[in-house]
Amino acid sequence: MKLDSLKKILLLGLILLIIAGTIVIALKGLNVSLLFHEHESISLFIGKEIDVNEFKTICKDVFGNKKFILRKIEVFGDSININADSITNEELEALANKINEKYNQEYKAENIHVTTIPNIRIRDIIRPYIKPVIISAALILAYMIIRFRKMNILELLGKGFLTIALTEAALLSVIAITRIPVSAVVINLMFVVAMIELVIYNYKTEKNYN
Amino acid sequence: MEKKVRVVKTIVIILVAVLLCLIAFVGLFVKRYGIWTNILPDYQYGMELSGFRELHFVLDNSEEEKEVFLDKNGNYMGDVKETSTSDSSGVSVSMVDENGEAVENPEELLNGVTDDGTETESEFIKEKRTVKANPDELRTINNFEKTKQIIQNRLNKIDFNEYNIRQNNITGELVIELPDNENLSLGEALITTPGKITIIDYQTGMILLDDSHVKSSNILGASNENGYQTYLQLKFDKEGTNILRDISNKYRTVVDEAGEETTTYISVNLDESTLISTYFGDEITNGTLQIPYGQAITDYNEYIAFAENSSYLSNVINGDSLPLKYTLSSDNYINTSVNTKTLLIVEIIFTVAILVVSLIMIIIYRLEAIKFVGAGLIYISLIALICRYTNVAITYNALIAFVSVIAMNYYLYFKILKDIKSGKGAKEALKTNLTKLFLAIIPVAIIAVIFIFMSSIVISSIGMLLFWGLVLLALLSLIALV
Repeated sequence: MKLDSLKKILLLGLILLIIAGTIVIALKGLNVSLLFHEHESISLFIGKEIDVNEFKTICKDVFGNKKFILRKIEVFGDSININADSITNEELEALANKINEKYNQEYKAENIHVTTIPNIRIRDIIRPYIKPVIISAALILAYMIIRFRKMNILELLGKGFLTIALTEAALLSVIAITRIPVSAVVINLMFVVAMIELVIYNYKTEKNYN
Repeated sequence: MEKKVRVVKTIVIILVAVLLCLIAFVGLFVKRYGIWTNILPDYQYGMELSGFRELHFVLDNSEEEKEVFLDKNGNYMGDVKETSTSDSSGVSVSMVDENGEAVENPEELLNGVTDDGTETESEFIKEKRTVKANPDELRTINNFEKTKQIIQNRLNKIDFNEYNIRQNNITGELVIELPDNENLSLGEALITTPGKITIIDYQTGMILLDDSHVKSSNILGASNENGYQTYLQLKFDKEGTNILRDISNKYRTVVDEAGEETTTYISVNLDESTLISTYFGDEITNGTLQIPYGQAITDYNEYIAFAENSSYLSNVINGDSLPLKYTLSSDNYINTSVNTKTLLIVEIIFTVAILVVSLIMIIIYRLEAIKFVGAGLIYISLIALICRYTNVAITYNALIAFVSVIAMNYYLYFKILKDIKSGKGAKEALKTNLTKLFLAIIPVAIIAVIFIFMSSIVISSIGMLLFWGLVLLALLSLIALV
């Protein structure tokens, strides 16, 4: 009895989490990693090997609390690419001044070209997964129907689907609520969690079947 | 004595395991010609870990004033060529009418087109107009989306198994991230080549047959006395076959009553480039046109490489042509964000994690666990070596799969040690737990096999790591059982 009520509490908590996550996604959407959503980018040639940490300090002074990502570009690592949600003219001027001071360059804000980088759609990140996941799911379903033929198939598949769906929904809700940036790695982690859930479900079914 | 032998065996296993780990992750170095060289194949890395090219493409805004042919409905039917009495090799030719008689004014062949643009009973008119590379009416969100999809299809077909594509829905600009390898220029060609193939009248410039009638295309090869020749083969639909037959009858060498030979030519164009200018010897009734592509090559390997590179052409022609034309505006090489320091931190974290797990194993299960610690290290190093030799692409996804199979392996060891501690024999414990584990992970095995065959590196790398991890787990366990 005690276990049942614990399970009920857990289930209720899970459902509340999923509802909260759904509300957050509906209102604010998922927090997509800076490089994946639309942002502005500038590329600057420095002329010598760049210490990214040093440059990070400069950018922190210029951008303040604004999120930014630095990437070394070009084969010799002597150019830097700065990505931020938006880059204002004042920030450009401040950046130019600091770079000129630190690296003996002659940049002017009006000469620095700001490019708008469009977003990568989440559906484009998920697209490579669709075909293999559908084929795998079909084969796994077929395997389970054959392996556990003496069990109630609808109950078996229904429970399995519900378990995985609830886990994934809960995970997505946690990601949405905690504003973890969604990227290709996060999507793959969700896939791995689904796989683990499937293995555990299969293991338990094997145990009960035998 | 027996205890000493067991201790020695265990120490040897641990030493072999540590050595294998060093070889697998660091490499095996031998001195060759005075330089220490790693004789093991290098790891292959995905885009995010090896660096990639970020290509920016913008819509081509060029425009040109030129004279064009238009049909009665105002559809574009080709660029008016300056009337020429020379063929592509500079030999003087003249146009002929249906009776084979030379005509002075080639425009007579155009069914009554007049220079002042007035419409007669003719099928076509000439008009001077400003032709834009991308007309305003084509710059729509639908066309932007269509262009993106066609580019994605082209990249997928040519085994560009890793790329990211971004599009600005307002300006149509594209930012495409491609691996920095020998196929980069090919990738660029796939994006900037609209892919419209046309057969035009070489003399006048009028379009005789366009790609709407092309059913399929292929790259073929044949050998002749000059070497190996690549051909572009075009197959046309029913209507295209009839048009091609008429063209092959019209554009050929004709001998007039005076015994003078006159030849009329066609050009096969891909967008604005001429693939070939030629004429026909025989009537073509099967709807298939074979065009020599490139020069004949005497070296077989060179020819194979050329034919492989040329396959992009048939890929482009077989798919839809791009509704919009793009030009490359900038090209940056983006270094990997994983620098030496980050790599070192990750390696340290991984090593510490394995050490902690091993220590926990030894603390709980004492001396019996030491062999399993060694086995665990051997397992990890063998997977790493397999990745080197089977060209498994190391991506973030592959690393997650790598950690998953290692976790599975250690889970098995903990279960076996638990059973051994409770009194079961080692072999029996191994057999029971191995059976349970493999029955439980059959879905994972199915996923691994399916994922291996996917073209996307992001997916296939997961499949490869899972596959080799499971195969190695089975093999090593079977060896232990025997």
